[in-house]
Amino acid sequence: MAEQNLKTLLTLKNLNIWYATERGESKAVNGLDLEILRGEIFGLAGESGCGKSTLITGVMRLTKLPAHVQSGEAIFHASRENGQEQVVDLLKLDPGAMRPYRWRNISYIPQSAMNVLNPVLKVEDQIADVIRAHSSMSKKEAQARIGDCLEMVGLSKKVALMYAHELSGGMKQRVTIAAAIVLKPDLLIADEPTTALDVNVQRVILQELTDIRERLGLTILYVTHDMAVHAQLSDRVGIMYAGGIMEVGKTSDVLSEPLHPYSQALVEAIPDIGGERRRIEGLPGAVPSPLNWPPGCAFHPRCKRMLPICQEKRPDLRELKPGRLVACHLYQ
Amino acid sequence: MSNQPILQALNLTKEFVVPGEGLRRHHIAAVDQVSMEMYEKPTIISLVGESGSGKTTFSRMLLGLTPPTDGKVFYMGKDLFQQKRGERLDFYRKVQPVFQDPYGIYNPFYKIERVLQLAIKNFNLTTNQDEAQTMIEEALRAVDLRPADVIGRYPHQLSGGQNQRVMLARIYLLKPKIIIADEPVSMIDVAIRTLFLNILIDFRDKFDISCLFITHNLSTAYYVGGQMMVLCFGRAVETGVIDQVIQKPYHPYTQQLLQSIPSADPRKRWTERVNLEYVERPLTHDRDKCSYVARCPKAMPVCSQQRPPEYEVEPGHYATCFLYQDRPVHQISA
Repeated sequence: MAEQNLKTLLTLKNLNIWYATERGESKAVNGLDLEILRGEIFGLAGESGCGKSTLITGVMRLTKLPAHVQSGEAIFHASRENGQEQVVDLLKLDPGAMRPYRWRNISYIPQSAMNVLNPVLKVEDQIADVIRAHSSMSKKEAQARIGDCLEMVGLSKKVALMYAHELSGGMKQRVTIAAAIVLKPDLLIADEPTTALDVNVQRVILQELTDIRERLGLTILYVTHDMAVHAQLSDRVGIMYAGGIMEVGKTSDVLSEPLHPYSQALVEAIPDIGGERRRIEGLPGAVPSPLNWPPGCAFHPRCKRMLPICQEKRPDLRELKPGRLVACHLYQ
Repeated sequence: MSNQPILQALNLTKEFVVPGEGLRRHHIAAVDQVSMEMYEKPTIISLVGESGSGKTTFSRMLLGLTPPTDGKVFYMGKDLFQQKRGERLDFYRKVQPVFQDPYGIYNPFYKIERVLQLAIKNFNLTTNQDEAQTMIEEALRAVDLRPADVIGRYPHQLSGGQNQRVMLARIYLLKPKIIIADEPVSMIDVAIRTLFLNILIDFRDKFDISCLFITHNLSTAYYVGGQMMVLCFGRAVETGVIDQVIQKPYHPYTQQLLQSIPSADPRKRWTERVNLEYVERPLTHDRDKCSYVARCPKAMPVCSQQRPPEYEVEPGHYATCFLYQDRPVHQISA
């Protein structure tokens, strides 16, 4: 795909999503900046507890108490039927006003496809529900569309008439993908959709997501901690730690030459199968608590290259080279 | 390998009954005639396979938790399932489990150190309270935990990686001969994962503790090294030294599995397309054919007529596949 001149689809600015707890505010997403371009597959990487899922629920306006959006903007460029673009701050919308954007502009594939399908409805009826609620398509059109989408994810049209228990784990995950693309959204958010699946099924799903992007031209935000999946799938990756973005860049650049010490540790920890067997030391210490992020750069207690300033001042996410952003005092 | 195996599985089979159409019942063999030996010489054996391949059922039989339908488990030459509970004490001490879910194994009402205190009490490591405390602290440090971070806290207050390492601290206290670890790292983070695996490797090298390491992740299996056994629908399809198996996989199933691992090098993206027809697990107890025949790209007529034996494709490397029927058949005996 053409990498230059892609238009912005979603811009997150200084986003803060906190959980109110008895012991104070837990800052799961803490001053996060991110830009996602139209037509790309953006990979979001980070360990569990770094705020990936909180971020996604925030963008989809599904944040539930005790979590709340403390501040920030999520500027989204939604396409309308007349071909125009409508710019909207998702976080400023009234709860009801978000509804027209769901499924039509932003859709979602969850991690546990096993549990999201309704066991007493046929696949077709579940997807038809989505269409009926969010578009004015006729029943006949909807049926044809569902068949097309199932074929697009490599399933037979017959699956439309089946129930969830008749499908394998990989097939269920493909049904959720079919449902997510049925209204041709601008943005498809996939939250670790293959972690529960076997590697051979994972490979097929990744292949299908790539195809879908080519055919429908949609944008995919793909969240996983598995760097090898990002290497196979994403155009750009963002490395998230302690509620913020540490590094953004083209996947090939970040993986071959990670700049932030945290990204370096993540890339270093990727096992090299069949290669020379070497001992990987991993990162010392544990992910800090969002109740009390370390002052300055949140990564400094685990960082091998810490400077005195790292304990005092939080580094900004700065553009080092075109398209390469790093939040680290080593490069400021 | 002249000496007696510490733990041996001989043609272990476990059948389950599943409901079929109407009132019919089907038998499926979750584990189908799998044999394995673990000797005095410390080693790590990785048991690799997809979900539903029978890895967990196999490990539960080795731990004495599930009786097999057929076949035997021998501990120090004695049939485990013929022993009475009291006779198994030595087995319970020397063969220790680590389970997948780092939260599920703890009683949430007790503080975390209780599992260590119980280990000390039940296996009479010491009766002196101070000594017990010292032992617990030493064990926690051995698995890279600071005692102050862990002691006095409840399981839900610790991360999955910390909980999982407390189980390793328990193993450090007991110094068993064998650890049976069922997907111990699948629920913990990448950075902590290597730490956990390094501890397993150190246990083998420093304390001569062997490990049966069960995983669906070939790269973690490769990282720990040692032997590997690949399971496919309950049967062992390929066995050998992991480096050899990964360098040169013989069984078409192993080949396909290895090709599906995403490479972390963005320059080495998959170029070939794959098609994965969903194949129902062979329900009726269809034992007289290869377990992989329905998906195998190299299937021959004989594959659906006979059950393939284990062929020795290279010294110490076995593949259960008729493609290698010119090689010697591997004989297994008690």
